[in-house]
Amino acid sequence: MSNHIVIGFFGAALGAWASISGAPTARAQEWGDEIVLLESPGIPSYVGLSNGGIAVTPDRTIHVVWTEQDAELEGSLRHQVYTAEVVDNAVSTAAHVIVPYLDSYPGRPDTGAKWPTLATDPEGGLHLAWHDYRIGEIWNVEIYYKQRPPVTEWDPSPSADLRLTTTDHPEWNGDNGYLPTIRRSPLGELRVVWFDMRFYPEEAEIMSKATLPEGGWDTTPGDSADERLTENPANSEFPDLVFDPEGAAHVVYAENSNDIYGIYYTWLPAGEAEWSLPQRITPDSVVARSPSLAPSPDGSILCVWEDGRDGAARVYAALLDSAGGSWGEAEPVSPIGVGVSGPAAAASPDGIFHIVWSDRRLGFFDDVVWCQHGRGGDWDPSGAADERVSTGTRATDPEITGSWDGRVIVSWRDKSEDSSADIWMRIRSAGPTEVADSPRATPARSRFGNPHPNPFNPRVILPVELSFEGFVRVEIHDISGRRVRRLLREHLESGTHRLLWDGRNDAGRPLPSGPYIARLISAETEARTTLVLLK
Amino acid sequence: MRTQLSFPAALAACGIAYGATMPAALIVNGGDSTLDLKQLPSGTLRRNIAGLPNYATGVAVWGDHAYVTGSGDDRIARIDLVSETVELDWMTLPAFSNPWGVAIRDAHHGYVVLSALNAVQAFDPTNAELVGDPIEVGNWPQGCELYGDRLLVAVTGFDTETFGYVDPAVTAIDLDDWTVEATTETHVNPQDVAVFDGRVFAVCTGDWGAIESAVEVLDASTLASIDRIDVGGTAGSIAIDRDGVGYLGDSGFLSMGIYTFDAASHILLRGPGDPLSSDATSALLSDERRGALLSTTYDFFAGTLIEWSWPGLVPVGADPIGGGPVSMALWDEPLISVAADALTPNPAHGGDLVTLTGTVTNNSDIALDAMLELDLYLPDGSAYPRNPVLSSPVLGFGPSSPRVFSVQEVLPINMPLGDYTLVGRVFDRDGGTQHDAETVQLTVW
Repeated sequence: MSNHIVIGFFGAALGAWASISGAPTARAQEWGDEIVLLESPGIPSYVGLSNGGIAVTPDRTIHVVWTEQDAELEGSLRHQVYTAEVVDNAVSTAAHVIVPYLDSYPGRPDTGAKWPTLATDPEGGLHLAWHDYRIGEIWNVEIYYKQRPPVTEWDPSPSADLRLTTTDHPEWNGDNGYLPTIRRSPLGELRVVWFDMRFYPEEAEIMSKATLPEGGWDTTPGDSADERLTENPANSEFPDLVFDPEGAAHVVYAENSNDIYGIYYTWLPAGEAEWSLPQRITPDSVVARSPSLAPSPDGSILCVWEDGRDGAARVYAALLDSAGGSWGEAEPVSPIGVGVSGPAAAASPDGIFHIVWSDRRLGFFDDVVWCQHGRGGDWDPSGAADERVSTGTRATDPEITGSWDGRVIVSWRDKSEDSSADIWMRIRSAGPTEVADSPRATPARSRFGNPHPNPFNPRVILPVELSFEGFVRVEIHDISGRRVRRLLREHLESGTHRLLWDGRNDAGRPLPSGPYIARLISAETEARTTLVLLK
Repeated sequence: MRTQLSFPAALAACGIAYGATMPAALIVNGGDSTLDLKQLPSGTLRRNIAGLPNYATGVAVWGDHAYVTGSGDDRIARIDLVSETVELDWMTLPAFSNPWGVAIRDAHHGYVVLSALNAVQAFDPTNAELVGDPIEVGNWPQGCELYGDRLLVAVTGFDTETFGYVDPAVTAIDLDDWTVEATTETHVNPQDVAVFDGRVFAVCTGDWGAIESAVEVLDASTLASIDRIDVGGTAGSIAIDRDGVGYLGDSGFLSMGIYTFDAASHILLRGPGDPLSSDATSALLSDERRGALLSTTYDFFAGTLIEWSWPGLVPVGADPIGGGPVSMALWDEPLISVAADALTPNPAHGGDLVTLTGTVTNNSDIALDAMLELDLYLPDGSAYPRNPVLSSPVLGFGPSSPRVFSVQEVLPINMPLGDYTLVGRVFDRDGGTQHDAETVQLTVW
């Protein structure tokens, strides 16, 4: 059994990493203790998270899914999909199988159900996709899907599983989909992307499919029910998918031609059918792989990846300001020469991006998960701004999500204690939808700064300048004076805080165009400012 | 014609204690997009009789229909109050126009305030059509009130460029000429108007800061300024009872509660320092016939409807209602209503057996007698010479109970083609007072 000693990430051994500041920090936010979701004592098994392995339902329950070569199964090389649930920093539902190894699987090593990916909907329903070997031996891998309605349990029976890909190419045994990522659009659509070998002897291509406007999936046999995003002689692999606030789908993937990987991007505006022509994000001569996307509430999108332009791999990041725009210049995020792997990114509701990755700056055999927070253009590649997330030293494959309630959740696999791999998690508490500037000067008086943009649509950043430390309420009222949104009820330090309001009421529904009055209320002061939502 | 009518077994006949209608209050809840109905004589509250558009705001009633503006999705919904069915997309308005106040003059003339377009738009409440071009009235208008052949509009003056209040006013639109007849500047941020005894009372909320609320008093004929009643706080809704007591609702920005003033002397009776109620009050309604005031306590997720008796203004009841109540209207609910449920086949051919099914409902809390008549109107609009084609015996209805009826008729083989109109009417037992009517079209081809 693992025996992690939980220490603060500002512990003495790490002081050199933590004592330097300068990057934006969210001082009201703190990391909670590490939580172990799965322990596999003494078994040399493989476990792993994949894109979209974490989802948070409206009741704030955190759901994590992952693959494990289950120790209790003979041969131990048979994969099953597991889940666990976490509430308030504690495991509420212990790890259990939701896609078991079936008798119908071919029985060969490395088969079963792999690479689960999870999405949630506003009602609390969960949607799971994974790739699966049940159709026909090792050569026929299909994308599967199942859902869990709100306030129910997962149904592990095969009858609950829906085969999403249905091609059957006998000349190549229909060797279909790998590594799916499922996401839900703000407009309600579910979409899956994966990479696919169905076009053999062509190399792998990126494929996708979405739920139909009337609901459900098109499972018509053949290729017609799936969208082909790439058509090139290279291997297109490892896609990631996100939606922006307007419902446009954005996909990045790694393309491998003659062992030179590059990062490519394509997107699909909401309601349209034609994906954009793929665009290369990284320079032609640079080896780059393992891309991950994070959509900000302001419509910008961050892409991170492993990048070899400086010798050993570093994490690089680039920002897309808005759909249809151009990617900004790539910036290094991690230090040089520490051997990074598996970067992943997420954004919290305050618009801050969070990047996690694993590297070996503590020693060649020590993999530790690190996290850095910031906006586009302000990454600190020195390592000084990096926070150590894992206390174990065999931590790899981190996955991250920015929850709707402001928390940031990181999960990873760890093999510190023995050759078995465990799944761990750590939760960064929600700030009050608040972003702190650093350093933070104390204003002479408390008031609202200039909201921007204003008029706005759909989001406005509302600076709050506090000359004191204390309990503060910020509310939004409509033009008739009626309170429509409680934006903040928190104890805040003095200084400037930036709140993000998404133009929605307390029920989460978009408000109509019009003037709104923001009020800052505390024992020491009362201030107001006018915001105009123009659609 | 040979008409066969069937009802379930008749109930015992009872006397009638009411007129043909009874007042009911409609409450628009903008927070959860629901419409509540309270039958005022009985005190019976029916929650969520219809879903409403996103961020519903204003409401007006014509006949048995309520028209509710959806400021969140730029449309007017129409609710059939008898059948409690809603047409959410009854009328689509210009995108991002932010409809707010609404008023109905007659069956073909309705008016809706388009706040974000600084304008008022006319529409046809019967045929769901926009009528003519919108007329500009000033910055960010909100509430409106009919006064004879004019529409009085509260123009807040909110300027989306400066975020200040520029030229707040009450504007009178001549509805016959469709022109702005008069505009009079008011205190800052008039949100709604009420008319009493030839005067317009505009509740002006102030600027949410140093300038607090007041009531601007104008001459209803000339729109000339008469007086200003300084109130304080942030009052935004208004009602005036038959005795000339004015009520102001403050939903809780700087202060909250119900304030009162004397509409004859223009004296503030109870202000923010001495409110009638200290609840955040979002909407007010004066029930003249029963002598009661209705107020809604604003909570985004769960409002409360409070009833106050005249003249002492004592709270006599409180009911939980939907989230975020924003406006109210009175509806004269038929004591006994009739609704057509189905007419089949339609279109029909000569020789077809046509079946009309419907429901007659006693909406009151007492037993009532009533009779049903059915009239037929020919394609040219003229009445069928043998009307009524159906006349039921006097039937007894238990309290708050529906009864389903069906009418069957074999159409004459040589029946002229065209669109026929069937009108069902319910009367009291003497046939002298009509409770309600329902119209359906039958196409013969």
